[in-house]
Amino acid sequence: MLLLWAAVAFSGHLVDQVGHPVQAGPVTRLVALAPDVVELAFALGAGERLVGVAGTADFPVAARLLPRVTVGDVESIMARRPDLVLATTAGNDPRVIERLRASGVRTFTADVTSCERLAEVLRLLGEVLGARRRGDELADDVLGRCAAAARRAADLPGQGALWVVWWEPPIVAAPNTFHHDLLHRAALTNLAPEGAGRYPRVNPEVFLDPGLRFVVSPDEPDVRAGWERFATSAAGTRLAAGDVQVLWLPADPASRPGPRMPEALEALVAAREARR
Amino acid sequence: MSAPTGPRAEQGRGLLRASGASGGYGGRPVVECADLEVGPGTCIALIGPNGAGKSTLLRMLAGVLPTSAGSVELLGKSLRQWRRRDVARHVAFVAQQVHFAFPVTVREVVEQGRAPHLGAWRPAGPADRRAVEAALERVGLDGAASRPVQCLSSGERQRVLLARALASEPRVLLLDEPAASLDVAHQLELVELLRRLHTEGAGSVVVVHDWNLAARLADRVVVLACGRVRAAGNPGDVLTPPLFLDVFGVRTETLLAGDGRPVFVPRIAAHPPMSDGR
Amino acid sequence: MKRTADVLLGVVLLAAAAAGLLAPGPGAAPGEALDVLLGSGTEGATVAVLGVRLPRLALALAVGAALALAGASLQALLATPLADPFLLGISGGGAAAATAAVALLPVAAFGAVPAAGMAGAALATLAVWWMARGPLGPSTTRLLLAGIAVNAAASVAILAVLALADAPRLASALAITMGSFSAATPAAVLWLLPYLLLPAALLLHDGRDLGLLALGEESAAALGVDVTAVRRRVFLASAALCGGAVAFAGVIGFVGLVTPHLCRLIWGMAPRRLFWRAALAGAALTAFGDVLARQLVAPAELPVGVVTAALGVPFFVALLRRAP
Repeated sequence: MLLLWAAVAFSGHLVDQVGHPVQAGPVTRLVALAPDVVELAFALGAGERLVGVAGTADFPVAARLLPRVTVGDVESIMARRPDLVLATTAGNDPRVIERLRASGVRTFTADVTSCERLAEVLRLLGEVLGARRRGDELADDVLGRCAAAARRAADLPGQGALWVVWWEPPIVAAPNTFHHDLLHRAALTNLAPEGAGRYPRVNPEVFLDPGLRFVVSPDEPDVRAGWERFATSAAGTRLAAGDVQVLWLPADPASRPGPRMPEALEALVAAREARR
Repeated sequence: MSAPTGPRAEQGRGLLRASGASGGYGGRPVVECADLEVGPGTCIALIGPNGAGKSTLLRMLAGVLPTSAGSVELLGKSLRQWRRRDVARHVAFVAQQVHFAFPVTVREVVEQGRAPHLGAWRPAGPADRRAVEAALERVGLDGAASRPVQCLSSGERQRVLLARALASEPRVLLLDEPAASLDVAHQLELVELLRRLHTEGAGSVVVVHDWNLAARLADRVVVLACGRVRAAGNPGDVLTPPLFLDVFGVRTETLLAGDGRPVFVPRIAAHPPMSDGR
Repeated sequence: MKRTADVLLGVVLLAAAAAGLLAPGPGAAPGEALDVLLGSGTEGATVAVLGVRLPRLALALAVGAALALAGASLQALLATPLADPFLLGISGGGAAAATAAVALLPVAAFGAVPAAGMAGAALATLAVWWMARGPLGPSTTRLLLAGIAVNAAASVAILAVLALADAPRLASALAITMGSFSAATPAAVLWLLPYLLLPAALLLHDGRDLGLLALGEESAAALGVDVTAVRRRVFLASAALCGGAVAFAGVIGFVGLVTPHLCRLIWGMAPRRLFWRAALAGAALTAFGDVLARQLVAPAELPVGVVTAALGVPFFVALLRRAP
């Protein structure tokens, strides 16, 4: 980390979270390709510099009024004449980023897989957007809130859990995702396997694993409907009986690795405390 | 099942008869208004240049290709009124070549000849097995019964197909160039085999390219050109140099063999053979 | 040789069934699963083995049998060893309709996805048959070409659905295009049974004629086969087999192509001898494929279509190289 900062200081370059160098320079026209990076831009006070956002951007409310771009379509992005494009590994196609870079557009890709990585991206992006102080403050705040929530959760018993992002078929969050970090900080052991991708599909039988006590799932209509169908199947027996408890977290912010991640963690810890 | 097999029908009308039969593919007639009759114990040689409609006529006789005009009658009843399976019990058709898409043994192919007698369900009985063995023996393949057909020469394959036809114990054999891939010895064997079948009462229609073979084999010769019957009758009357020149466009010399039979030797192509293009 | 192969087939099938029920899983260890089968399992293990694994195994067996049977019958019908259930576009049509349903339906109505798959397969069947009808009836070449056309249309439809679907629903759509037994329920198995048994009965009836047809339509006709009627019946039977399989399990490749090949090497091409063995072998292969799909990255799982293709391709290449 020290080395990284040193490199930035010496070359006038910065490296984003996927290893792409970001040229220094003023940013006046910003395009953000996912809701989480839209939120990052707003959090760092760069909301009014956004000239294009992903169609799914809905927070803060001001983001809904911004011009939309088609995230998979380089031409629609270029049409906004951005001098920096913000992207995320949570949902953006790396090939689109490559094409933008090949066309000479500056890009910054966030890869937030933990509270620490969130703090890091706030600092890096603060630097890029000329809001270094704001970035540092936010990063410190994130780390502080995450640590506090983890301290609260330390009193809770460590138990097996899965973070289910979709039920038909069941898809869970594996290690190396921010969901995994949130489970870990809430004293839950993620039973999802490593080495099968970030969001692997699992054998439905995993919901009969005696070690499984909690399932965390984003509270949105499609996911709820999928859960209801799943709970009627044999593999959903323990879910239906309440033997495995489902912790429904508000889908926004629990489904996006943005600056409100500490809120999602606090909601998760609170949900656990409520079921003690 | 309900085939009229009474002796009267057979004697009166012959076994298989085409009268004014026309047919072709996709609305284009290939054979027009052909007359032909096969009686018990007789062999008809069908000759003519390429594209004359010999194979098409054979298919119409087998009922594989429907006639567009005229009729083909089996035992005095139009083929259209017969069930396919019942026709197959009486008439066996051997195409020039069959494409074997799958590995299959000689015996398996020959056993298929019993299918018309077995229908969908009846298992093969002793009589069926005897017929298969006899057919294999007649074509000289009894030693090769378990060999894969794919490994055989084209001459051997032709004999396999002939054996399949014999296994169905037909009353009429329709053979499309059965001698094409056979060596001389097997051609002679084929002639002998067909002679024996004829003495047993079977009739046959054989497409041949070799005039001399036709002369040796047939009781009657039917000459087809441009889809029409140009001549029909005894081999001695029909197979003459003027006809060869007319139909095939070939000048022919006639020699006499030791047994006094004529042997035709084509000498020179005088003009292209008769075809639709002319 | 053939007797030994029959015994071996039985053993493999039993082994596949045992693996499907007893292989380690999160709900029951092998020992616990065995206890369940012996009648003394814990409640949790009983749900895992009888509630989750048994329907899953049954669906895998039924779908595997259906695909292998469809492949074997289409190969005989079209007189080409290249035919498989995907070639005629029936699976493609079913998969396209099922993915479209997954993209458009409310999640609560996902129970209707198999019905959509069925409808798609039926539509594709009609389309292929309609396109293949020539002046002389549907010929082999026309059927194959019509199948290619329908397949192409289905692929385009699937790609369009995948491109336009909401991100979370992509998972459901992809599950259909790569095959899965994870949503197996006893009801699904019961629904599938008629789509397996009725065509099987029909194929048994037409078995002898189909054997004649496999050596060419003209010689079959000369041997008394009503080629048009048999072709129509066998085509419908194969369509029902593929449609049922794709509706309840998505697209599972290579079982329908490889299994009949292997079985033909051992038992010959006569349909009545070949078909039921091919069906059993396909069932065993698919059930094993599903066990591997669950085990390789447990407790995550691979799409079973990926596993069967991974098993099938090298095997197919070996067969091809060995063939005379």
